[in-house]
Amino acid sequence: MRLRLLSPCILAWCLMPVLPVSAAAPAVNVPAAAATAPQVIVPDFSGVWMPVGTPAALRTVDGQRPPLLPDAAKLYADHQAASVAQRKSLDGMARCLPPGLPRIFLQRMPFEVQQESGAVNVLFQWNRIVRTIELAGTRNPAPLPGATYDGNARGRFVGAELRVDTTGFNDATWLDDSGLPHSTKLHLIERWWMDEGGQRLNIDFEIDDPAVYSEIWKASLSFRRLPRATVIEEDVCVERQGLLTPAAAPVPPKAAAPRTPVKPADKR
Amino acid sequence: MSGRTIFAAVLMCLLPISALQAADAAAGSQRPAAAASVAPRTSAQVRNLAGIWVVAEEPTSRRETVKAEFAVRFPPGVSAGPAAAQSLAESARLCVPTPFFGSSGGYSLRIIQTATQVTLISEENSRVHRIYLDRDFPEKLTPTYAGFTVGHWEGNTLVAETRGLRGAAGMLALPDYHVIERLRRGADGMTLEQDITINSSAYATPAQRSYRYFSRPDLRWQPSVCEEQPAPLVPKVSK
Repeated sequence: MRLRLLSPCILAWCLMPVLPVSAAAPAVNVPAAAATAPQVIVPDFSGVWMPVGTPAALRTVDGQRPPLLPDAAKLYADHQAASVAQRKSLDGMARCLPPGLPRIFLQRMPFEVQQESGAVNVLFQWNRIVRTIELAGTRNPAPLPGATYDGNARGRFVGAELRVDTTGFNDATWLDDSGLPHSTKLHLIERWWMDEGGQRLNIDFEIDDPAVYSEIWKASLSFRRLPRATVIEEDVCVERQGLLTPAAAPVPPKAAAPRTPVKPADKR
Repeated sequence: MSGRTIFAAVLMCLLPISALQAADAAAGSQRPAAAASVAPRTSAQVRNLAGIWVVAEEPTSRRETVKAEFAVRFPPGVSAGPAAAQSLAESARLCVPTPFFGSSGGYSLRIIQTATQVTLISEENSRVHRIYLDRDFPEKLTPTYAGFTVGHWEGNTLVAETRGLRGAAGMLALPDYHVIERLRRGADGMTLEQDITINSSAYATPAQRSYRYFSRPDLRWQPSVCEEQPAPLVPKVSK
């Protein structure tokens, strides 16, 4: 009798630790190996997305200019007043360095989201940049050795949303094309959610950078889903920006003289 | 039923779950090698190539004989060597993508797998290699550095075919590259084997290379930024 009463309790106790573990597994696109695990429905952002209405300058959700501190406002003014030539030295993106966040979402190029059980991967067309958002509790990779263009992103699912915390940025990028600055203290929080039956992706950004902005401010961007068969084109920034001379163009075989004998690799 | 029996039953339930959680925390979706010795791996498991991989050596075997008339020209001061190695180095220096003729030492490889696509991404120079499982080659193929790749499973091996490669600077710039790649997880589940066959009129016989990778789920994967190099991006390829 006591056993009959206790059995459901034991079963429930046994299952309790399983649920949070399986919660990280996406309901769709999960690798077959994980298909036997209990399924917990999480949103699936997989697909190809195209920005909708990409402004050059980020504004707060109520359309205001971000609350820049005085020194940062002066720096922003310098960025905006820069000539094309000056901009090449000020703006790393003109030299094909990564645009950083959220700026890369403002480029008029699609990006592909590939969702795994342990990570959400964003494959941008822009110079083939890949951003990996590690999902909390699934992997414990060693921390990045230093600050980077895209920072160190950690994500978790909260209901139908993906929430991403990113820190560890360098200060070599701008927040947008207009030159909004940020510092290494930038803490970017993203809230990803879909509407219109999964055809529209929305990302709400919360920008916390006490060295540059007087208060935390918010901005939002939207993206529309492209057809499943869409192929992300190969973008080569150094070619697009004309940073290579014509000599770098493919060489026809007939022009391959002088001939240099090549040792067969198996003789190395 | 005594209290001791109930306690033992609860303990039995908890132990395997704790072990599972520990494995998940340490290795993400990868199961530790020890699990392979406990139970045979299912076809679903061996068909899962996802993970972070580091090349064991570069490569484990290689056979490549370039026809003399297609020998690559090298910049002054650069010694001649295997054509592919030279061309890859040149392309990497220029920050243009390179076709996925195997990985390079020192850079890890991330494989993302979904039902319709297997994607190989190298930390080196944002090399993205998409293998589509749900489509055929398009009728009109615009040549790109990475080419266009379709794949299918033959048993536990992913067989991928790449066409539409364009030549990179300093490379054997031929339009007829046709690459067959075979990827499989090793029997222990912790290694990845990659056999590549490159067909081209540049080769006397199809070039062949094999690579082996080790699973490293603990690694923080971080792509390099080629464009950070201080040298100018102007190529020095002689005419």
